[in-house]
Amino acid sequence: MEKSTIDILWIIIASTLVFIMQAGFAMVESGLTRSKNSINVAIKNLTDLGISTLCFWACGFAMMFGASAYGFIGSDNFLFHPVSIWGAVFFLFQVMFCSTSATIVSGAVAERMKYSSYIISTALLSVIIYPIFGHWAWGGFMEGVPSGFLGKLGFIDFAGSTVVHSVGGWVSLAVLLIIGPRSGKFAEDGTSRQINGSNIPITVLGVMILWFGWFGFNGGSTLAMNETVPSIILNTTLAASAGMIGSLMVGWPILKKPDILLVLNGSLAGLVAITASCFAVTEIESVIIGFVGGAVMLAATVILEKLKIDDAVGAIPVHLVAGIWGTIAVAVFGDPAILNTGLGFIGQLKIQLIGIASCGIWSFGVAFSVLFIVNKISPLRVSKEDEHTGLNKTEHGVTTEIFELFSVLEAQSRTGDLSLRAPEEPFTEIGQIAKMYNSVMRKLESGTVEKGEYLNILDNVSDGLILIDRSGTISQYHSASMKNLFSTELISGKNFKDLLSSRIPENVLAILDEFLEIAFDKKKSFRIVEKMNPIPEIELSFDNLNGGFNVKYFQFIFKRIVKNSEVSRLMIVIRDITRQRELSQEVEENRKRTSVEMELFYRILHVEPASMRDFLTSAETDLSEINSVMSESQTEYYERLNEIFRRIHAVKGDADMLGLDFIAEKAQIMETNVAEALRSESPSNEIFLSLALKLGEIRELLFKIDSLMKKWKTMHAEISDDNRSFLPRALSDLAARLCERHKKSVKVEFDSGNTEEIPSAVFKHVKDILVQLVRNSVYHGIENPEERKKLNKDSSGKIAIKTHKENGKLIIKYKDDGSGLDSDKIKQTALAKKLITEDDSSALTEKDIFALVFRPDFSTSDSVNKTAGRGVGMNLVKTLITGLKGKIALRSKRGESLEFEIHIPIEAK
Amino acid sequence: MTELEIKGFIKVLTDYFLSVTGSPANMGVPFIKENSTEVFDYVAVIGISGSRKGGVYFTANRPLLEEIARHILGETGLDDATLYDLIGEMTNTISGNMRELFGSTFLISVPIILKGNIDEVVLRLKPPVYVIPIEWNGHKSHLAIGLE
Amino acid sequence: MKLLIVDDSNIMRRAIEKYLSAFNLEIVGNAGDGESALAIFSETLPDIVTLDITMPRMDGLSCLDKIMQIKPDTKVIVISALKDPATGIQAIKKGARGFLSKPFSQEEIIEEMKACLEDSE
Repeated sequence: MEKSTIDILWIIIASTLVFIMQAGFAMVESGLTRSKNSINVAIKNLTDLGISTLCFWACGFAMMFGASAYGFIGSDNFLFHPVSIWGAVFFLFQVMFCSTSATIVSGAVAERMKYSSYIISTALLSVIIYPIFGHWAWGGFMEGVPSGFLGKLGFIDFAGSTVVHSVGGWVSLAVLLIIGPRSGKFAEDGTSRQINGSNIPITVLGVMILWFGWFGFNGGSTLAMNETVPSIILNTTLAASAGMIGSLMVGWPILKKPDILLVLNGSLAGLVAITASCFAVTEIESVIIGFVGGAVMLAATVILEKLKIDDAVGAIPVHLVAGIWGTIAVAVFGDPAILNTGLGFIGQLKIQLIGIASCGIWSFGVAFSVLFIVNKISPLRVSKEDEHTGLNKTEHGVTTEIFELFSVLEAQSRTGDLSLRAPEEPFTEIGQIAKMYNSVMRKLESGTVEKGEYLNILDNVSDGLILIDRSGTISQYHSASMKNLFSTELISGKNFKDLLSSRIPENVLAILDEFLEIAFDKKKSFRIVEKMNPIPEIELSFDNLNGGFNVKYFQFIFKRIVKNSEVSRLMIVIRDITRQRELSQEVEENRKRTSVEMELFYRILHVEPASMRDFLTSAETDLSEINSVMSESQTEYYERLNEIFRRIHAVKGDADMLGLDFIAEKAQIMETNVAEALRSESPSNEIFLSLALKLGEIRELLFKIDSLMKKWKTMHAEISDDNRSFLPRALSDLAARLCERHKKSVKVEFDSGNTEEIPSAVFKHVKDILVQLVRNSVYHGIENPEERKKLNKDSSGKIAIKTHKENGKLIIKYKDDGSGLDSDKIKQTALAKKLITEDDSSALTEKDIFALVFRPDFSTSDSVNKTAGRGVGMNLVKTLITGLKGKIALRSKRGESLEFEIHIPIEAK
Repeated sequence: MTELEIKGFIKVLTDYFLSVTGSPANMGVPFIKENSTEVFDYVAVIGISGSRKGGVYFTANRPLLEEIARHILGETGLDDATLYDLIGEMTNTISGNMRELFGSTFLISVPIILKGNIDEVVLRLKPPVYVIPIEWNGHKSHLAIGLE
Repeated sequence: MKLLIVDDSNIMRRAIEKYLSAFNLEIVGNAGDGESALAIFSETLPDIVTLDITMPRMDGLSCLDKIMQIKPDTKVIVISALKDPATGIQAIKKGARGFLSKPFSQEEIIEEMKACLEDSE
């Protein structure tokens, strides 16, 4: 079949117009999908062009237009090489059709199908499905003689309503049934959600490009530049317009709005519908075909939605359903003369339906079964996470700015991480938004971080830190230590004054109130206001709910917080200075006590100690008596007063005599009071109040003097070790100390008359001997009070010491009323310590046994302690006496007493 | 510790008796608390802080409380718990009145009620502790004050 | 700048005068009690007044009230022997710009005067 140059030229132009439809499809599909997937969809469009071209060149063309084998499949011209100019042009035009068919799928399955899976499905369509069905319908067209079985039967599909569009639609349906809807498209309750496209304007432009490209698609299908071409193009554009109007007229009332898809897909449905019959219908018929195409597209859309088949761009309603309609329309409207099949309406309709059915069975059947198996081996669909993230990123690692911005926003809302920043592409709208957003975030973050740091400080600072407003209310943020300082969880929202009330005196609270008033008055210079802080350091009494108070000392520092030249808050720093205060108070008290003691000391210095002691004893007795007279309610009032008068007079007299005028004065006041009361006709008990107060004061004084004297005495004893007059006291004190340690009670009676008689030469040794004996008695001899009670003894033990001189000897008699020596125990101890042998022990007399206690390293004490147990005590006594050339004898009454008699030779005068 | 302050405490207590029961209470002869000075069945202790530190206690026998309860409630034969309640209420009122009198410089604690051994609490009173016998309707009670 | 010194003690008046000699102030007078202080004040309208609180015949606080009525922008430094901040607070409320408690040193009064002169309101 020879072609003129103009035919060749027209088909080349038509081919380029069909090629442009690829761009249209890319724009429609990427514009109708979300921005996270738009790049993936667009790139699939380009990819299927390449894949389908190669596949169609390698074998598709051969299988479609090669020499027919049984009208089923073409069989030559693999790896197509044109033998004529027309052959090349024809191939060019057909390869564009194949690519068109392939690219339909990408839109339907958008946003969830893997890129790799899509390549497989594209190859399947380009190599097998499209060429074989194409052969059935269009085989032999290059030569102008149908060789495919449908073609031979008279199946008319002028430019491919079925061959191109339905094939793409069927394959889309097969894939969709396998991979399922996009996540989020259908809710669990069955309702569907509209997923909005990212760029509708670009979709509109895409539709226009398709429309324009369709002029070549349909107009070129004449395969010649003849008189029918303009009418075909006219019909095409009429049908497109009618499709748009049809879908709008039906859809608008139903959807209550001119949905954009009505306009977009309506036009396309009109174009698809007219494709099969555009060469054989009139203009009016074209309008009807287009109109109905738009309507069936809409109906199909609704049905798919109902069936939960998620076609992302409406490819099935547009290409499959409108394609079917267009194919049927050939039989309905096609001019039989032009169709030239020799079939009647029914016959033509029948063969059209056979074509449609065989297309469905073949395309859907092959696609579904092959891809079903492929899906089992390797899922066609991306993972849920990838789908969520978007195929741009997960399939290709590319993002769009808006996607990046949204990712950042999403991550931020999920993690709360304010440090995230959106990428700032310069000179783009999104970049500018990102820039502004980032700067907002920076401000927010720095504010938030500062606050975080501030709160961190508040958690860790040991001082109390609060802010109060004009009403005294404590604001939300305060240092954690406040809770410890005031032992309460309730700080925020509480009034500052309430924290202090009942803890500081009310008069101070009243002043604090006034202070806070001027502290909030911005007109008053804070420099001087600060000076008026009534609680710079204040004692707080915390009721311990046990009938008493825990006293703490707090320091309060106030600072003004000025905002917009108004005093918005007062900051209060509270520090617990109890420890420092207690220390300095202790020092102060010590100082005071010392000075009081010194004064007292001066006052009593001139009094002879013995007289002083006598006075203390008698005054204490008198005062106690007075107190008990006062507390005895039985006694007659006047009798009582007289008794008090007598006693107080005695105290006064004694104090006067000793020159203790500071006591005498107080006694004088008491005396006067009592005298007044005695004279009074109807005396009231109130008189006794001042009496009692004075009584208390004098007793306190006497108590102080007594303790002072004791202190002085001890000090004196320590300084002059051999001051003989202190020996009895020293021994008594020693016994008292030991008793305290061992929980015993002992009285030492030193009945020597005059210790001065002990010659100074031996005094030191005598003292040491007595010290050891007292130690021994308290530790070993005297039983503890409970034991003594059981034994019918006085609970307090007694040590009696007597000394006298006789025949140039000092004789010391020492006796305690403890348990005496236990000869069995001594024996056993001596045995255990190998001081004696078993043989010795039976031979020893009691006297011999007692002598053992004087041996070195002997002690019956079970453990070593300060008082006893080291085995030196009694041995030391023996050594000392030996050193003095003296003698010691002991006499023990088991359970009753232990006596020592010591003879020490001294120079007779 | 001044005579005036002691008088203040006494006044609070005697006023209480007078206003609650209508019959006056009489102050006995005060004396200084010795170790041997005994307390009655019930003891209420109130801590004092501020310009003076220490405490006061009021102690009374059961019959006195029973009679006061009779005055307040008009009931007799009250159980132990009610009498505790009463002495608590009494000392609360008394400490409240003390607060009114000394409030601007003293701090007065929530009172606690003790029965039996009170050594530990009395330790908190600063010696010398002055005991003021209060006689009311023939019943004895003590107000003891020990402040620095 | 004109200064009025009010204090019931003659020695104190002289001391204050001496202490503040460095400030190059024109001393318009000194007064020993509130009434005469007020008389001098209304006649000379000084910029600064040092005012003792405890004085015979009208105390310092009442005197301060009157001064503020006559010339509210007068800088009054209150000098008080009372340790209790209540008096100081009263004085500030009434409009005192400075406060010194007795006894004070030369350094203290100089510092107070400086601060008072710098406080521009």
